[in-house]
Amino acid sequence: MRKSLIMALASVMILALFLGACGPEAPAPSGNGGGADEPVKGGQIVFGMTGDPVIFNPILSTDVPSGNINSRVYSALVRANANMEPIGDLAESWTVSEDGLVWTFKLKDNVYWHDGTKFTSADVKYTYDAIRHPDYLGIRATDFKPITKVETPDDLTVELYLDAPYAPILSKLVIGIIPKHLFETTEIGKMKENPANMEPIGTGPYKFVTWEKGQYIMLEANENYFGEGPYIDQIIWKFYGDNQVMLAALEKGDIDYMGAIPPDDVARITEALSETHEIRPITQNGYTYIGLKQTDPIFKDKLVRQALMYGTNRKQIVDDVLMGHGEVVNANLPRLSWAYAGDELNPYEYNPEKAKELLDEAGWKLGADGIREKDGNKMDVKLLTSTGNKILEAALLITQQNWKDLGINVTVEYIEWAVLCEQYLDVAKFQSYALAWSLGIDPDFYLFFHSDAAVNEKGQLVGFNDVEFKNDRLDELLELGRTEMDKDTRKEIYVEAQKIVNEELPYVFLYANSSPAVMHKKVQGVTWGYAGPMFPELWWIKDGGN
Amino acid sequence: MLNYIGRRLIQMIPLLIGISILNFAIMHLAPGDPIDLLAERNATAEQKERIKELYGLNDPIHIQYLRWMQHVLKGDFGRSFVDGQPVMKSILERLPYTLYLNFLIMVVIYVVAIPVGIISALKQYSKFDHLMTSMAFLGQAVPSFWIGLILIYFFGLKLDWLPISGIGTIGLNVRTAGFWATVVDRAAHVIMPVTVVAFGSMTGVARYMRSSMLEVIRQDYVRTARAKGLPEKVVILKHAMRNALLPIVTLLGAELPLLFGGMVVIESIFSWPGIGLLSIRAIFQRDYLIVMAINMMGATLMVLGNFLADLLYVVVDPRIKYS
Repeated sequence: MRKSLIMALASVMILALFLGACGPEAPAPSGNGGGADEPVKGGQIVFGMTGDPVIFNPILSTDVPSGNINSRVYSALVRANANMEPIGDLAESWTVSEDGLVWTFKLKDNVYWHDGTKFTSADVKYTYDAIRHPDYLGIRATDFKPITKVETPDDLTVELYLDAPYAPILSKLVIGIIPKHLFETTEIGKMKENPANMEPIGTGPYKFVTWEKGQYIMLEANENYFGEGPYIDQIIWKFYGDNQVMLAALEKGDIDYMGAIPPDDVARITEALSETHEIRPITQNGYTYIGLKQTDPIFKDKLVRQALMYGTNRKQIVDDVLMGHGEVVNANLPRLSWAYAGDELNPYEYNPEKAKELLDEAGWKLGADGIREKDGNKMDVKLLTSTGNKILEAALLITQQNWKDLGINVTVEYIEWAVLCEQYLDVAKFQSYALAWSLGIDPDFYLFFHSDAAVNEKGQLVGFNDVEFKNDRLDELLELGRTEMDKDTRKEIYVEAQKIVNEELPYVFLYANSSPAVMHKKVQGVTWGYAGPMFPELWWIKDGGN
Repeated sequence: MLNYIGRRLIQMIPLLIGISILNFAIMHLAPGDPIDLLAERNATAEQKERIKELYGLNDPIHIQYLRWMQHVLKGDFGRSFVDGQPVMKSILERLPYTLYLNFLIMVVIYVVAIPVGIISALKQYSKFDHLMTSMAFLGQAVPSFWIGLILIYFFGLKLDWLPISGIGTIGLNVRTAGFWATVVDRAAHVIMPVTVVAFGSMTGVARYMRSSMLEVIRQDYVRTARAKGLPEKVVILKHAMRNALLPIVTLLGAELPLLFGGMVVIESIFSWPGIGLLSIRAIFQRDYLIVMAINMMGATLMVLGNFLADLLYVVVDPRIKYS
């Protein structure tokens, strides 16, 4: 339960989620084994999952298990390819007006809901309007804020009107479209009560069959899917409350796929299963960090923040805690992103001497008790984090020791997630905290570090900038990045923005993990992309499962 | 007697109301708010207010309580904040599996523990008694998740005798595989969880039985029975055991609520779709109505169980009379 709870909780923080999406523009599929063979229909694939899904409605769900099911049952206007670029899904094509304010989408014509009803532009309008409704109870409203109006000139055309040019808009449209004819009978404020959330009807490659709570979920191939595939007849997710038990089930052959093998078990599993299974590291689209309140007397000094980056042995965390299955991160965009700045960033290699020099330079002198002080204030740091993440706990133990060696006294407090949110994070009241971000596919990070996404004059947090970072040049770049449509120019903008983040350090950036995923080699035609194994409708089972 | 039963039943009402008020107050006073978990991280205060209003969380706590009570009296426990499903539906989906597992566990505990306790008492300080005493302490001391994982590793994975987890093979049921194949399949799935819990819990009953038996066999009437020349078998089974069982039978009444209790650890390890995982998730997500419903169910059963235990005393012990 603990693990599944963590997933459920961690997912609350997820900005955007689209697993197993994708399509034809992907890089050449690196099949498991004989890639030259022709796909065959038939067979079954069994996934393991920790944690039960919550709700099969893509605009209401926030957890990873629900997202896995929703991405197969529902289709979106666009989806991401293996390189995190948007490609058409329900949309055949799209254009944007000169001024960047009107996006026009042409929809595919041969799309039917699983109950046989024809899919039209009205479904798209219904879905987007539901998200924009004041009574909407999900977490996507911010994503759709730039949209002022959704129009449907005909059954196969959707027009989105924006209040300002907004380059990341496509990345927000990866959210599944829900059927108007089933949902319009309930008020938006009561959408959660609609029975279609429990027996979903989508347009995706797989149809919902059954969900036995706490046991398994079964999907079957949608013979009328509008795209290529699906080839595999049946998909099952089996629920496991414990990772060790799921590993045993994988070894026994009860399940064909397990993501995120715990670091301690990777060596054993690799030895036991490398003959029969494909084992691939999946780099997290996100990172773990320590947020530093920029207005705090200790952290307001850039030299101190840099000293913490130099003085934290992040390589040791990756080597010893993640057992090498991950990497040190130095800024806020993932290696997978097309706008990743990579080598141009300062790597802040572990250098405690340099860290001490920087702290001295910043005026924090070593006191008699081994704790630094300045103007009579001790360098006492309170670091908050959520309970239940063993890897983060181990990483913070190393951090705590490293910082102590620099002369900083760190108290780590573990707080239950609900309380951490209510009393500290949502009201932006803390000195420092450690958590992880899961990211979307667009490099836009306005909500994270733009000064308008911090705390407003009423003291309320309006974005994710709870550390209250403020940098004028970065503000400018983040605004520009949203309005600029040219990808290459946007990349330049975001590379410069990352350099500022890397230099100014709103966070101490820790690591991105890359726990391996394991897939049985009988599954063919798998594309491994940023989200792990992608395009499930194109997978097939060797010999059709016979 | 009827008078007594009626009075006891009426007394339960204020007790349960008191429990429900306490329950409701504790849930709402605890830090953490479902809205903070449901809303976007960057939702504005106005948006949160709106959400609270939609969920009816804006009213003063006593109004919320009265509204909840009003619905409960009509048999409506409300809907989950998280998935929007009726609370009772979510509970009833899982309750049968909890009852099924707990019932089997209780049967195994009593069937094994009673003879063990009797033999331990009759052969006090024998090798058997020492072995059983050691096993009892071991069962208490070793955490169940550890035993569970060890069993899964050996019997599920290495020896491959038993399925690892779940309640049955997916798609295998009476219709597809026939009655006996289904029974065998379900039994194979339930062996390990039952073993783990029974091993950890039978200690109490066995020790209880042992001391009860020890007490009884030193009684005068047992000596008298022996003196009359009755065969030892009759002395033990008819005279001693029947009396020694009295406290055990009443124990059963008190354990009634345990039948409905979820077991988070066991449910996690064996992927058992019981009520424990539902309630722990509801607690962490501050899904008040689910927690309230489960707690009230537990409280009601506890009160009823105690009542039942008192009644059982009358049935098994002619010396006790209520008026």
